[in-house]
Amino acid sequence: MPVIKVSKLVKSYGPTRALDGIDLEVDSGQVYGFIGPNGAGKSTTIRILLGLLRQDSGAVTLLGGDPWRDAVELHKRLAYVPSDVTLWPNLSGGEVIDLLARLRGSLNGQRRSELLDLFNLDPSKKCRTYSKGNRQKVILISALVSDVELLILDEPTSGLDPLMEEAFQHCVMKARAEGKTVFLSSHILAEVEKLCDRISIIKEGRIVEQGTLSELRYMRSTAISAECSGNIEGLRAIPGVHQLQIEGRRLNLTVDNAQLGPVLQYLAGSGITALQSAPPTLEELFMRYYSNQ
Amino acid sequence: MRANDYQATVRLLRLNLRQNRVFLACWAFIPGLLVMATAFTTIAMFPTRESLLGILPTLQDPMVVGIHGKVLDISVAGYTAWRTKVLCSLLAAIFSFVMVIRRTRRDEEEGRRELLGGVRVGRQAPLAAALLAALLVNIVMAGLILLGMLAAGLGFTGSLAHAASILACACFFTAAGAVLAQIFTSARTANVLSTILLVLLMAPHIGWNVKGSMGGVMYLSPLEWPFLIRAFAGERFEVLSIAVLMIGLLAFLALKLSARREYGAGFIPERTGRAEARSGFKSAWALSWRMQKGSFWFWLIFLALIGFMLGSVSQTLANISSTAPSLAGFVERLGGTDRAFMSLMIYEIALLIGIYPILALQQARSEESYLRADTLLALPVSRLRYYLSHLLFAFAGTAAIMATMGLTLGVGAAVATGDSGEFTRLLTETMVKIPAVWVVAGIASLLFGLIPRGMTGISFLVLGIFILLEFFYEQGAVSQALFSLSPFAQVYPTHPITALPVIGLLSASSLLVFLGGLAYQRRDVIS
Repeated sequence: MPVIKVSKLVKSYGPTRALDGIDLEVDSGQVYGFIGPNGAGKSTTIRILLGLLRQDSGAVTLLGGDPWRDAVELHKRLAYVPSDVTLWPNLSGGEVIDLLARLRGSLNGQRRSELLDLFNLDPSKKCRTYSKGNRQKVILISALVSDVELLILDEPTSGLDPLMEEAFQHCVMKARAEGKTVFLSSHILAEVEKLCDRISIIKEGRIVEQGTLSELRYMRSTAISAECSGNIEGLRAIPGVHQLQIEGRRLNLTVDNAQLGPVLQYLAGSGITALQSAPPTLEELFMRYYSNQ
Repeated sequence: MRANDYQATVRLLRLNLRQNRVFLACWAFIPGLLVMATAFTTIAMFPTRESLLGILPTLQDPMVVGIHGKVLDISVAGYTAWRTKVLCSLLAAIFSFVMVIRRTRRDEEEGRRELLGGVRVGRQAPLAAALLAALLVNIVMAGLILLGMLAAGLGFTGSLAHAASILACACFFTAAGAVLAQIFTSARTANVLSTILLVLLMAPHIGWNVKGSMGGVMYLSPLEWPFLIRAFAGERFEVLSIAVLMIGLLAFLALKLSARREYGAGFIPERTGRAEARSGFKSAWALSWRMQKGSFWFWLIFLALIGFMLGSVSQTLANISSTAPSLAGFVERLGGTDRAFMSLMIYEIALLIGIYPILALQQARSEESYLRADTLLALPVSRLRYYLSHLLFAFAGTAAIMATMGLTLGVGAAVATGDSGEFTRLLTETMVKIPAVWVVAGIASLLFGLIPRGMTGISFLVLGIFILLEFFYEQGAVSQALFSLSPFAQVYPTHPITALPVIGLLSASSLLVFLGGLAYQRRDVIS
């Protein structure tokens, strides 16, 4: 049974449609990447999953329950890291960690001190004096310190230095090894590429791409760079060719794998002298969705 | 000191004047309006010099002198200056330090100052601009006080002296607030210490009033300047030279300290907190207590003190109102002058306490707008529990504050008059106002559920309408039926205390709270 199941989810704020029919399915034990640029609807989706917002239409199931109706029961089984971390200015970091974990119902003292070491955080400072990165650490530790089935993380590493990002990735891998499910919203694509089993790309309130990383990459396209002695302008006419750049005899393109045959035939007929091909990186895929379509 | 340390000061000054405009308007207008209203009511109440002389024994009562000081000149002008000097000085002082701390240390804490540090802005410019902005608003305020007094036909020289002394007091607290903002790294600490400074100056103020001395160290306290300047009683403008000197020194000190410290640093560092929470710190209620307790204790202690002071002087104050012939019929209905005065005071204070539940619920609202409610509600904390954890302050907190005030008022009056019956009467009269304030709490709760973004504004508007309804009802401009729309009308002093209106108010506030909770559970959590 999926941990998160969302179908035809719609949410509007006045005249703007923030979510326009989202479908998602996250299975137990998966690390699920949810990527998209600012304002695409990532946080809105997550806030509906948490029962903070109510959808206009569509169905949402979280851990077998209704996130709006069963919020309190479900929240015992999950931990959430918000993207915009604001803490209570007059509490110390340690107090926030303890309060949130106790409210969730499980505070593991040993794990608490391990995490404080791992993230190198001084818990005795007042929250108003923490930097952005340290506030992020407080909330991350408060989420990781509890033993829960599901972690919902909304851009958890914005503001962390590379060392701390490494520590975070270590924690996510550990969570997966323990059989936990992680829902990770991010626009740090290298992180998603490294951690996630499945990925959804959201754009303007719609899911434009969904699947395992290999499905996304290999099903869809191949990046080709080549040198030809003949005329290569005809490539523009072949369907399925994207991001074609021609500089003299050199060319770069990505092509849908279904059209790989016609492209290679054309190149063979144009006096090809050099060829490189590779699956595109997640970044290229992402750019393709967002640049001009 | 180099000129480019002050680069862009004028631009920042304009920026400062564009922010918090409602706050700035209140600051500029309220003291002037207070003075003008006092002048006009004094003219109405004491049309002749004889009528003023008639209350001379009251004005010379040691208790009255203790609070307001000696009346230096028995005239409408002298009386007006005497009545308004302390209140206006206090108001202007509070506005001043709140503003200057907000534009210096708070901007620094919240990172806005950092943006300015990265552009062509001199390192001293933000502090200089904050000081100048406060000075400018204070000058406008003093100008309006002067205009108000002239409009009431009071003499120019005396009015000028009165306005200038209040201006000087306000500027002192501007500069003092600026110094504290340099020393401490938290705006909250700087504000608390400025308030403590004000309270510390109030204590000898009462002592000096009673002794009536006019010399020595008294000149160093800004709260004494409006007295020492002797408006309408042979003005002594030379007092202002001491004021200018002290203000100048403080402003210089603030600028010196600011030049010597780094961005974000102070001279007394923030205390660290607990590395681990206390074992009892584990509920939504414990969190709301941490967020609300400062304001709660402030209101409780402040009103307890007010209650005690008012109780102790109840007899003397009652004599003042007895001399107003125009109020005679009104007083008659209230059952005698002493009763009338205290009943009205309790009623007015209850209206002002109506502010507290609005502020308490605003905390619940600002947790949402700062997105901290997201973090909390993503835990196994229900909407209902979150709502109740703050509602508790709006209701139980209000009740505790009013009950404490009723107690100190009763004790004060019983001790002063030696009549223990006063204790029961005043306590009951205060307690019976609680349900009316709860209706204000109920309205704020409903708005929290229904129109969260407009909650604070609309709540204050409604409370303001209740206050105006009372004002115009007493003027005879508003009918009984219209006045009855205000919950406070149900517990108006002329009404006998009966169960029915109290039950009515209790049901109304319960209904409002219930509907507010219902609406909150159905709405989105919005920032």
